Amino acid sequence: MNSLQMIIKYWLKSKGIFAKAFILQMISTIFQLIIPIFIGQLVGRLDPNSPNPMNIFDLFFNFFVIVILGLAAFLIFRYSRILGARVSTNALYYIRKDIHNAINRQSFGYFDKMETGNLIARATSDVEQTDMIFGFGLAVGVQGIIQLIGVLVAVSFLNTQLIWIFAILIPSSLVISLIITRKLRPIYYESREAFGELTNTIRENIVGSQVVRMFSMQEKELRKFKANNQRFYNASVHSVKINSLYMPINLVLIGLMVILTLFVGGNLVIQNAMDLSTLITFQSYIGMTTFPLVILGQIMIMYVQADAALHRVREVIESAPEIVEKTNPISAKNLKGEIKFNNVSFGYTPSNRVLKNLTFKVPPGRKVAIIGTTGSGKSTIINLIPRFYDVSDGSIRIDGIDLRNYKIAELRGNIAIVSQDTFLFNKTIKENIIYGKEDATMEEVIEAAKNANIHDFIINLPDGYQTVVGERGTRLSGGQKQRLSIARAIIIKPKILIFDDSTSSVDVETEYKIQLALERIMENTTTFIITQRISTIRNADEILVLDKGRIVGYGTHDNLIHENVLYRQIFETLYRKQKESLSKPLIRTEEVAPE
Amino acid sequence: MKKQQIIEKNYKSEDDLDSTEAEKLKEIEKERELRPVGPQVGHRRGPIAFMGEKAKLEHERKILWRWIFSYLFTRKGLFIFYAFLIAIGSILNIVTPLLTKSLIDFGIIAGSTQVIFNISIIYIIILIFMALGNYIGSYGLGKIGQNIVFSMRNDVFEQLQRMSMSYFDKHSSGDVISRATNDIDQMNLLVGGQLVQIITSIISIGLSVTFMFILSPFLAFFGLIIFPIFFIMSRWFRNRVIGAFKETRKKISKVTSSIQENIAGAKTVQAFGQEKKAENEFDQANLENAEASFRARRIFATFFPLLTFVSSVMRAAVLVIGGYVNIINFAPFGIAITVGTLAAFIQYMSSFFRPFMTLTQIQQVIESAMAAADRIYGILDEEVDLPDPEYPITIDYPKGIIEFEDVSFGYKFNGTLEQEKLMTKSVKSPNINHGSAMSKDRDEQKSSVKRLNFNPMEMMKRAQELFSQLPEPYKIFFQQNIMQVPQFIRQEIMKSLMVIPSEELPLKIDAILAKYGYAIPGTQQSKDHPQLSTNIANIPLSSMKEIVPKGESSGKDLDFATKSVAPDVRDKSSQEMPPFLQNILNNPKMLNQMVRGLEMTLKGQSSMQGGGSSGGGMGSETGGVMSSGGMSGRMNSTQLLRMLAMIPLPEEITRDFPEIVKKAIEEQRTLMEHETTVGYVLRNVDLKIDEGKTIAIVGRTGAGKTTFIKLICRFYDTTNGEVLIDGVNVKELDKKSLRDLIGLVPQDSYLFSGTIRENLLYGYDNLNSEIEEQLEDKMIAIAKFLGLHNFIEALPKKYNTKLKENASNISIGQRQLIAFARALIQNPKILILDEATSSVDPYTELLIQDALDRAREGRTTIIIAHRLSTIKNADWIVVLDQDKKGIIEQGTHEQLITKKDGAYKHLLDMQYKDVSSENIESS
Repeated sequence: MNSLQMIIKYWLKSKGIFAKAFILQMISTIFQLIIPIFIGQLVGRLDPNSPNPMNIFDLFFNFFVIVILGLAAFLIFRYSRILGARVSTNALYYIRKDIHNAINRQSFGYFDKMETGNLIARATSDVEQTDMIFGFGLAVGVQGIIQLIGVLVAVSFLNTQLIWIFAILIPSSLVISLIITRKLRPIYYESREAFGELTNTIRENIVGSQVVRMFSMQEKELRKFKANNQRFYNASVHSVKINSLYMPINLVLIGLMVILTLFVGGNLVIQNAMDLSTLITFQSYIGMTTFPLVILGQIMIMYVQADAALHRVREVIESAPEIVEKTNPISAKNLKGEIKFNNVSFGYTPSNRVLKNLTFKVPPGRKVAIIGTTGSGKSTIINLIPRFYDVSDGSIRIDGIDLRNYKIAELRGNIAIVSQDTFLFNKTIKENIIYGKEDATMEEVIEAAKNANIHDFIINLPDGYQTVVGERGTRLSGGQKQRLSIARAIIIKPKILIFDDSTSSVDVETEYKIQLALERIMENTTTFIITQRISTIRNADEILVLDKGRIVGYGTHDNLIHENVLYRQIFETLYRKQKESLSKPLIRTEEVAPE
Repeated sequence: MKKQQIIEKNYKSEDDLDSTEAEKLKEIEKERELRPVGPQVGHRRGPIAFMGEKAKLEHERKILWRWIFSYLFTRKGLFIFYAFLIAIGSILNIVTPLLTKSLIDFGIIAGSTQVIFNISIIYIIILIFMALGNYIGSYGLGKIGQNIVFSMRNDVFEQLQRMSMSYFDKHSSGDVISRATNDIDQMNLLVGGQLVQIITSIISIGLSVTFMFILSPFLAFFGLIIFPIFFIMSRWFRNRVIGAFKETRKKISKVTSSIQENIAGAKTVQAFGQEKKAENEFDQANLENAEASFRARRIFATFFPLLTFVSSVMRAAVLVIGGYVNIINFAPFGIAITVGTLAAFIQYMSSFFRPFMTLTQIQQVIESAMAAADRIYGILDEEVDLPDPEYPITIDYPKGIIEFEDVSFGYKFNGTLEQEKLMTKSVKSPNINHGSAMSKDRDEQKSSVKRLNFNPMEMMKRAQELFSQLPEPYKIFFQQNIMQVPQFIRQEIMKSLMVIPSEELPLKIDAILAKYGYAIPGTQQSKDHPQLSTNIANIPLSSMKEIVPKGESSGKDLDFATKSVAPDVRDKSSQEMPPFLQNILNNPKMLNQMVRGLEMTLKGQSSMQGGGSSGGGMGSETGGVMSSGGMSGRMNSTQLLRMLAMIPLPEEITRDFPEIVKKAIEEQRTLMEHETTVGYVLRNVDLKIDEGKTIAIVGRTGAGKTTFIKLICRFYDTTNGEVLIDGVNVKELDKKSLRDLIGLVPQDSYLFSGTIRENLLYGYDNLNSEIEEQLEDKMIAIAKFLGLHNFIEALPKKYNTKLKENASNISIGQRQLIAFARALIQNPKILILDEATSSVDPYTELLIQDALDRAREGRTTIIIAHRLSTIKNADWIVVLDQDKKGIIEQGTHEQLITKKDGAYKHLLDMQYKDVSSENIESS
């Protein structure tokens, strides 16, 4: 799809209104052309020598005729404008909707690739850039074309040998517009690109504002921003430079045509080969083409401008999500929760495998602890189960069926994840808890909150469950955020529950309480836990030991502690670390200090 | 200084704004000299309150225009030059018809081929000059426009850099992004695109008028009628459209916010399979935006056609008048109007109307830009709330001693969603709008809550209604005993009644009462917690003093209504004030009366304070207080004080206040400031950390550990008390030098998109290859030190590996390590780790532990951790508690561990439980 097709597509989203607006615009343009001609003829009749001279009565009568004509034109014109406004606001509404939903449907890999700020720019400023072409473009375009046709019709009635001047004027004007738009195109592309960058810089700076302040790098950020801004500015100035060419060139062109007419026509008149009045009329017609020609050229410029933005919008709308549901997906409503990894390999990029040949099986209702060094691929395993990414090789089966065969929404409806980066929405606490289960009753909400050990905290807030948590939950501490996200996960009573180191910011006592509650309510839930707490590891039915993307151990604690070297090492380190802190005396700094 | 003066001036000139206009402009010019680039800002807050609606609007527009023009002024030389070129181009454009006319008259009619040729040549030459003038002029003006927008954007970003963290707490990032991008884009349409049009339009209007007068002065007078008509029309439309455009800017910002949140949270949306919901929510914002935008355009859809209509009518009128004069053979001013003149005149009229048409089109752009300018200016006008002191102190040889002296702190979130919610909720409630005792209301929707609050009788009525919806025994208890409940508890309960859905209410009430040690008799709560007293009605006053937080104790006789209004009014970003406050300000006599009354009370009964009203019956004190002029007689002194404190009084006025009143108002303001905080996080914290010591901060989640750290870094200013570093108040330190002292590894370590190297060296400015080379060794040493080096070396591009946005391509543990290295590389005197190792595996943690032990040598170190293994080596341990909002225990590990029932011991026991659950003998 190109931008023109896209514009037409979104115009036609409100077909009826568009058609009405189009026709009314035509009528009102004709009205606006007729009224001056009508007035001009009346002036002619004022000449006492004219065949049909006016008296005072005629004069006032015609005045009222003009007023009424004007009024009619006004009403039609106004209505067509209102409709035009409707068409353009509708078009923008639909584009925004489409781009938002397209983003929404993208899989995780897409968000790893795309910068948020840039996406925001595409969905807001870029869309706004097309506003002109949708509204103004329609109204003025119709006006321009009709006027041009009107002039051409009039000229064709005027029998003259000068008609070839139009044959030069109109094509060359169009060619000029074409050349200029072609020059402008890459500049506008660059300008939109730069603007996306700019938005991204601003956003990153807002999100990372604390780090910027901590390092007092405001100056540096400002410089970075200014460089971005400069890039956008340069592109804008460049576009102005070329854009400004358009008007003067067109004026010169039309001026030249006028003078050519007079020069050639004048000589013809002198040779008596032509009527003077015909020449003057012809010349005035050339003048009348100025407006439509300029307008049409400007619409072409408007179009490339919109094209630069629309192509960025299209890139998003048209990029197919990586994760696609099978054509005849299997319902995943009543899963038991048996999970089997069959020789699974995975890499975020094809060259760099993060997981290598994983094979293991978890019976329903079991609790699996995943341990391993930082960067060993623990979180990646977890991202594969709800099909956030598709495996590069091998397969993952849930209840014996490859999960790529399931309905995605239903599959995810069975799985709840409490992730490392807790993302909360800027809504009330209650709305956040019921995020995955809209119809939850207040009792359920409170129960979930109690199980996540956050109820007491919530109820002591001035607004209780109605407290708005702030963007990304900024008004809560790290531990509170984590506990809220636990409540949000357990309220949906998932078949598979995943904890990705999600109590790292919760103190031990609270965590203990949460564990107890979870054990009670998650009896029949297959649970994966990434953790570094001994008791949690110990309590797991199975332990999966990962190292550099490979499974180096899988089994119960008792088995592993005897058979698996790495596990024993990790466990002992953990154990000693915690034990030491309790029983051994303080290590003096001198003993550890270097040198 | 300057700003203050201007504010004063503005205040004085409430009615004669124009007369002081020149003076003010001078002021601005002066200021501009001081600050050569960028806009002058900060005139909006003070005087607004003292004006009527219309004057306020005009005043705001004036400020905005002045702001926009301030950018133009700095480029005025070039601007005039280019505008001049444009003018020449336009004039030549008008001259060309004269040339063609003479070509016809003297060339064709006279039959001279030579003249035709000559004039043609002249014509072409003029054409070329015209084109050149037009091109250079419009290119130049376009460039200036872009330059202005460029500067605006830089200014906005610069201002954002100056803002403290609390600005970002208060404003959603979507909104800020929208202001810095979309809104400035709107300005771009105006200054970047329309300057040329405006100038050419004005010039062609001028030229047309001249030609019309040359042709027929008589008819020209009729033509001039268009001016008043045009201005009246454009004013009328403007007034109608201002609100609509403001609305569109707000809505587009909502769209941006919604998109920003949905993209940032996309993974969560998908994890919960809530794509539909996200789509619906966005659709809501999108639809509202489309509707708002349509409404604004709809108004303008009338404007342009109306002007077209006016122009037809006027042409017809000229025809009639000219024709009539012609028919009766009258020659006004001795100049007969021939048919030819009339025809030419009518032709000119169309070229006369065209620029007006253009201007009406532009007005739409202008209004849209003004609405955007308002929001951009909103950022620039915002007070930088943690400014560097005038004479900042830098510590040359820092030791790293940190002291907390009686520090209290609470986050402020006013003017945010919460309140918006509160408002809409209450507005929706039934029975809220009738019988207001307030003066006539101008701001119908929003102030209904306030009005409600100001009428205790209404309030009681509403409360009784809500009570009746409560389950037993709450219902019967409150219906009978509400008056006996101490006022401050009652206030809290009443407030909950307004905002919390009835299903949650019993829980909330229980929680509130439990806080003060009470429970309602017969409830589950009272059975579960027998220690809670059920005798609420007779809480002795003495115990109240203990319960009531320090900051509020003197305000306890206040009626709740005034209190709940306070946060709104004190919020500087919101320009709204309840109408009655504006009434006071518009009535200096009343103000004076209030102040005098207050002075007398304060002087006469400083000992009686608080004794005047016992705070008993709610309805007794304030019913209909503001409805009449003689208010002061019926208000007690504290109410008066609060009222005055609520008004952003300029110094101009307060200067004349008696000292005692001034002081009291100031105190009251501080008090109210406290009330606006969503509760304290820390209260009266005293602590001294000696040079080179390591302290660990422990405590349950939400105990204020992170907040503690943020105060040291001065991300926020304390509400009360002081934080000192090396004996210097952090408020007096140069912020950059303060933060250079500190290496912070925050909880969620934000990394920028860029290479690992760039992130590690983030703290270095002005990097070039030479410096980078010098730093290379240091960087690698630190990376090795933290066990990060091996991981980085294993990456394909090593230190030049690009991190994606928010470092999504590496694990959280690795992120934390990089953030740690980033902090260490600058060799800070104070090292702060906020759960910096929560997400690394035990091996790495041991490594870090080891590194940390070495790194803290010669540094003051503060560690927040839940894992006690991390904190055992600290020299001093501080336990924070959420309920006490402060330190509940401190000491060395050995001291604390021996404390029976100590909080630290308790935390430790939990940890022990964790380990002991394991059968260690097996290993």
